[in-house]
Amino acid sequence: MNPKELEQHLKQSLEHTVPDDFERILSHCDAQKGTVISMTQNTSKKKKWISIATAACLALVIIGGGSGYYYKINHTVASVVSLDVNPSVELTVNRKEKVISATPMNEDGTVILEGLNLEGTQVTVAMNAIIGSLLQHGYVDELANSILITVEDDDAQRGEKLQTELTEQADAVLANAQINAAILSQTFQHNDALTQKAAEYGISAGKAALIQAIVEESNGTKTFESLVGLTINELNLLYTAQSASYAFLESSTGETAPAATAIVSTGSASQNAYIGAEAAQDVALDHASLSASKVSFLKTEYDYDDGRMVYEVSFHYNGKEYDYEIDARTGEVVKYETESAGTVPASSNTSAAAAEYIGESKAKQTALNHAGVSESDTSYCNVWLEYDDGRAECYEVEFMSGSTRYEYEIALRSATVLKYESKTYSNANSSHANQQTSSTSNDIGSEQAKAVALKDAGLQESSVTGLRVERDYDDGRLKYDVEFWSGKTEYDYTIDGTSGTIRDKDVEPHGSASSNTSSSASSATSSNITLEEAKAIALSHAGVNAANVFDMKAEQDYDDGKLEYEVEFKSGGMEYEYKLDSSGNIISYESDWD
Amino acid sequence: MLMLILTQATDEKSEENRKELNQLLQKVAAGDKEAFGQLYYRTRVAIYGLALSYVKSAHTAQDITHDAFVRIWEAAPQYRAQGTPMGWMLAITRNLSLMRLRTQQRHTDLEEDQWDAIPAEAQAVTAEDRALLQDALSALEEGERRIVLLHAVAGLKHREIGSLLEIPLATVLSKYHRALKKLRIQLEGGGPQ
Repeated sequence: MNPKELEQHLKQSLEHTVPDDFERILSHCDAQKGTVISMTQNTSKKKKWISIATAACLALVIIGGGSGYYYKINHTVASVVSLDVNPSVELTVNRKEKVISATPMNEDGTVILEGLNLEGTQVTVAMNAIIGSLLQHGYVDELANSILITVEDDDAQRGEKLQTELTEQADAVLANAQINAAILSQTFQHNDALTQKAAEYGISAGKAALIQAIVEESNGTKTFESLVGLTINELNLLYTAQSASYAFLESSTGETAPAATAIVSTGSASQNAYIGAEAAQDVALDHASLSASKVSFLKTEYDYDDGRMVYEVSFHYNGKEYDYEIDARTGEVVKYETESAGTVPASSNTSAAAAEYIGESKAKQTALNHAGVSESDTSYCNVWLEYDDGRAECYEVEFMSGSTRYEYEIALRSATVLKYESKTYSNANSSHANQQTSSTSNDIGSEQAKAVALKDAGLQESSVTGLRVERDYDDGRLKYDVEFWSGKTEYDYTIDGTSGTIRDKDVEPHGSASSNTSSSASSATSSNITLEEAKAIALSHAGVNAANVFDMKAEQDYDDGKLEYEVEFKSGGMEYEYKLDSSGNIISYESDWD
Repeated sequence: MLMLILTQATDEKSEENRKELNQLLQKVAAGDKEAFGQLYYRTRVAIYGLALSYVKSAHTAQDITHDAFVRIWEAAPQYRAQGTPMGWMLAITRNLSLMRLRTQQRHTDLEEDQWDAIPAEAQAVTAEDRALLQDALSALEEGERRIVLLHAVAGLKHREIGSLLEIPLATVLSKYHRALKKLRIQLEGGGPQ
């Protein structure tokens, strides 16, 4: 089955399992256009809800009784108030501060609003009822105590007044319930882009604004998308962590934030669900085998990375900067880096503590000692740094002594054996059988495979382009596909993943018609242009001189099994992106202000 | 940021597709239910496929698909034809999926992430479908599954997948190729090809 067929099959199979649900969807759309989102209900919560609902309704019905007099005034939206915890609720309010409509913005919001009839009530009263409902449903407690109140009003003065009123109201209700709440509040004018973004993610404009504020202050380390799933408590922690000036506002009440931002923060977000900053520091220091008294610039703050809340602990010791990320819930060390003068072999995103690594020779010695073998007794002995996802993971040591093959994993920073395997071969046949059952254990590794291929071609890694190494199984046997270009010649090797021998080799000079490739992905034809030619075509199309170009990136790519070239570069304040097919035709291009 | 985008796509099929989806969305924004129906039948497999790759259960994925279309209907007036309509709809689906996962995490910790791609009530499912969707896909890692589904079913380009999932293009490509190989091995029992 070729990739295309496989994808086709997949699509068809999936089609068989997708229900035709259109009627039901349509029935939910009818009711809702413009007003209330109807969503799948959360049955478990419904029952608990009834008691509070009745109490709250009773209060509201009394106040809400007097119906609108001036229809027009009463039904013109003056401000939009949203309240976010994790449940998210939006109220439209008229000039008299009466609620025109109440809309849940997410599933939890539906639960909160169920049974409440807020229309026509004073907005502060509505706020009161909603917070009561939040408390009752356990959405605000000592673990997550943050609430975001947002007023969207084109009349800034009126908006701010409302913001103050609502914040005070919320504060009072929560204090009454003995909750040390943290309230974030903001007022802004209607903003189309923000509204669209909010709608896209199904969150309130208020939450979108808070996320936007965090993203803007993060210096590009965070994206809107990555934060959208967080609760307000988590966002509050991030927000306060980022704006250092706010850190000192902790537990003060009603304090107004500096003018730089419109977000007002009172109270401090609960960290009770987490291990706490001190514990996180201890974990990091312990891991680094240092004590707090020895280090300087010790700093801990919240962050959100790779889908979890973490404490970022950083400190200096002995001229080096240590950076840790500690899982805020479990206290586990998620990441750590040490920055010093030492360099690491080209690793994509982390500059790990290469200086602290034990080094290849020590790793090799550790393995040999463990096996009780001296290096002179080995028929071959290899050691390399093993990378996973661009990060150094361990040292791998492999050697053969007599008819026994050893494979070791050695820790980066201590001469500790993490894992080892040895295998004795009696003859060639049984070695094959062995290998079938635990094929990964005898892996020569991609570095070694690459080296074998380059050596055979008589080339240096630095002189080839488009180098690609892929680990693969063929017929149950581990192999490495190594591809690279040198000038106009394409090399395609298949290296046995166990023995490191060359199983298949294909050298194709550009322009020649010979092609006996066994690799599945490559449907490269003889008329392929080179990467250099692709670059030149893109540059000439853009009318840009190569001398004025920077950040040039060009790569080969396969889309639907077809070879494509992607060329990106910057010049004169513009960013260009080109896609070319294998014979040099431009498939698409984009240019964008850098 | 000031943006000037000149796109000249000679990949006519996908460009045409995008135009049609854009038009449908505009009609949906104006309350056209027939257009909404067309949009639904054209895109539901993709929406469902993405949801499934997150929530891993056919049943929950159906729920998400339902919610996603309700939201698409509702949010269509806010849609601005800046990106691809498919990308926008998938972003909504992804957000709903992630939200659901968060709720699940809070309410139940026993969620052992089992891949369960075959809905109980599905009638048209053949043994081959089962072998592919349930058995072969379960051999993939979550990320690989998502990329394969987005490419095969939603017809997204690798680059578009990269920007939707916020991962580098190179990662998308390598995961995609690895996933296809794994699938082939699964389906062909690892035997000679």
